[in-house]
Amino acid sequence: MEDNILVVKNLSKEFPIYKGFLRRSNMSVKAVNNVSFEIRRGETLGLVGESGSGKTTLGRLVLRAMEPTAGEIVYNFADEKSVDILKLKKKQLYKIRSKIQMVFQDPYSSLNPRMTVRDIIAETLVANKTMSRSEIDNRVREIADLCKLNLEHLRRFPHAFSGGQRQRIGIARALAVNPEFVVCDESVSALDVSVQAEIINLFKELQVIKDITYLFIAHDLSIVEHISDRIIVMYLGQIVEEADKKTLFENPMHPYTEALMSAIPEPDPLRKMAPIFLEGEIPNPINPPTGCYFHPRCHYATERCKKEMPCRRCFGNHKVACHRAEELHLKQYIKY
Amino acid sequence: MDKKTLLEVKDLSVYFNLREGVLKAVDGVSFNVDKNSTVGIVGESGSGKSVTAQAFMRILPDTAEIKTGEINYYKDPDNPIKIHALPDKSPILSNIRGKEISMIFQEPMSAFSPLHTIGHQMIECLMLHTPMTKQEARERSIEMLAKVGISNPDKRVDQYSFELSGGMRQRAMIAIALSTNPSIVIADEPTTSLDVTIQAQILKLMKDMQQEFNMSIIFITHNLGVIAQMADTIQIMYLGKIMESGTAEEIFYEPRHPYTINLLKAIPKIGSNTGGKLEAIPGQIPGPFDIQKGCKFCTRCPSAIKGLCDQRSPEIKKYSETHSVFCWKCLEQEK
Repeated sequence: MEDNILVVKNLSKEFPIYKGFLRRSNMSVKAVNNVSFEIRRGETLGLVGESGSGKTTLGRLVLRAMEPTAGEIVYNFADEKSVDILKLKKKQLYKIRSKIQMVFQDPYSSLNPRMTVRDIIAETLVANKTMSRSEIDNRVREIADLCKLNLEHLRRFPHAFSGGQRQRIGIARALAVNPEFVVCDESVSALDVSVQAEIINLFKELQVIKDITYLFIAHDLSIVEHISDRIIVMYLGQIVEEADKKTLFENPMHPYTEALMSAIPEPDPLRKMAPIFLEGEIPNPINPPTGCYFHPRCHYATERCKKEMPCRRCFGNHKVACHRAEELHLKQYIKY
Repeated sequence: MDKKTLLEVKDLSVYFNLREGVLKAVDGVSFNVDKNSTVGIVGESGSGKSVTAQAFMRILPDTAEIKTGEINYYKDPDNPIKIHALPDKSPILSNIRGKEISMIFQEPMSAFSPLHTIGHQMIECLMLHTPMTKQEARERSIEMLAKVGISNPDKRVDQYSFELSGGMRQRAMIAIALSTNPSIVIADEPTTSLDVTIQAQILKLMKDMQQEFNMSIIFITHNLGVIAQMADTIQIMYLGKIMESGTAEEIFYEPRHPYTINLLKAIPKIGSNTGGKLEAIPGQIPGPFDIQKGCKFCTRCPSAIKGLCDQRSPEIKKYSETHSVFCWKCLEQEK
């Protein structure tokens, strides 16, 4: 059995921009630009980046909820040989879908208001056509119990539930088919602080019980730090840094990661943050800067950064896309 | 009354008269806003923090009414303006809105009119509240846009809100709010929709502007990290009531109320408990119409005292001049 459950190679997604009367397209947005990474079985990979960095698009691409422009997405499931899901036909993909699932951001719009909780959770099972009605019922009850939903509430409709409860329904729906890999796209950001903690705990518990691998997408670094084993930092459709979380927070090697961490508001009035301000805003992805995409906002940029795009280099398990990674001694965020 | 006090809120209650019944959004809230200080109001959704702020400017929805309480604005220390008692269309009230007290909203996209340029909206506000001519107001707008760090302000002033990015829009909103030189700025979740790096910039900008314009800020948020960085004093709200209030240090280092203590434990802290479990608050926030006697938090409180907490509203317990808690457990410990 392969160690990596998912290997992504040179994945890109371009969205064409249509203009004018004939809707011709001569420009495109590179939402995800030549991205490669792998996820190990049983780990949680955190994916962080600002809005517009392409993290949601990447999350959808790896499930093939969206067709990529180029690249490979290879899964190694526990009972099968490796499959590149981009080469699969629709029917074959259908079978794979029960192994890869998604938990969405907004628990209010991601549940159909006309379906009961039981039907929402059972929908994926029904679509699979492998179970009888009574089997489905049993599975729904089992999974609802695991997600700490009250079994008496299964006949109710989503509107009767609070945000946290709805997110539990969303999680139960994703886990009903026993997936091996789950993408969580900002799954706790819409929740209140006290509820958020419960859902994060639930994700962790279920991971242990069901042996699930997560791709956890979020913009809140303190949550990502809490839940992830490794973290990927994205900027303008590219991965700029990848490392296990301790290494990343103790020894960031990309200036963008340094700036991102320095901007985390610390819940401690005596430790005032000292943010490193990035000039300007995230550039327009239709027409990205030459050289390193980050150079117009980078405090350490040199002439070389303006001309040459850095390739990703490995320092052990720490991968960075920066020309000056070794020579810069960036600010440590925390010592573990 | 203290000389430093600028805004005094006494026993404020705001009720919504809805078809389903009476919703007590704010229920007996009291606190003071001192000159040149930042008061943080922290609470989860439904805690009434935004409604409290709306009451200060009397911009509550039609279904809401100020049931009891006072909002006194001490522009002149001897002659306070009673905001709660002003008639709806009073000229004093329109002078307060936007001139004395102004507001920074959460959603910079929906707070601006998409039909008018940024400059138009700034000039409108300035001409309404100051004796400036249109030309002067335009110059002042450009000056303000430059002050909040918008590049090419003379070009931006003629642009529409949708032409600006999220961070720029929030800067423009701060520029409008500050253009009339208000004494109090209410910031209702001003950075919630922004990225962390932009959030840090906006928070810095607000602090710098506070220094420059000598104003008080009422900062409303659910983010405990942001409030720790910004506030001098903090009010913790839950279901329309203040649970605990104190200086930022008192709240974060010596929290007394079970709700505050649990809230602080529920947020993940970087580097502290790697892989450990977070301590979530059990249960969920009760619905607004689930009328309950006693302390509002007693349904979820780990140290609730049966027969006391669920029967009678807790009284105030003062730990210091600034630090007070509404909790029976804290009162019982005293005895």
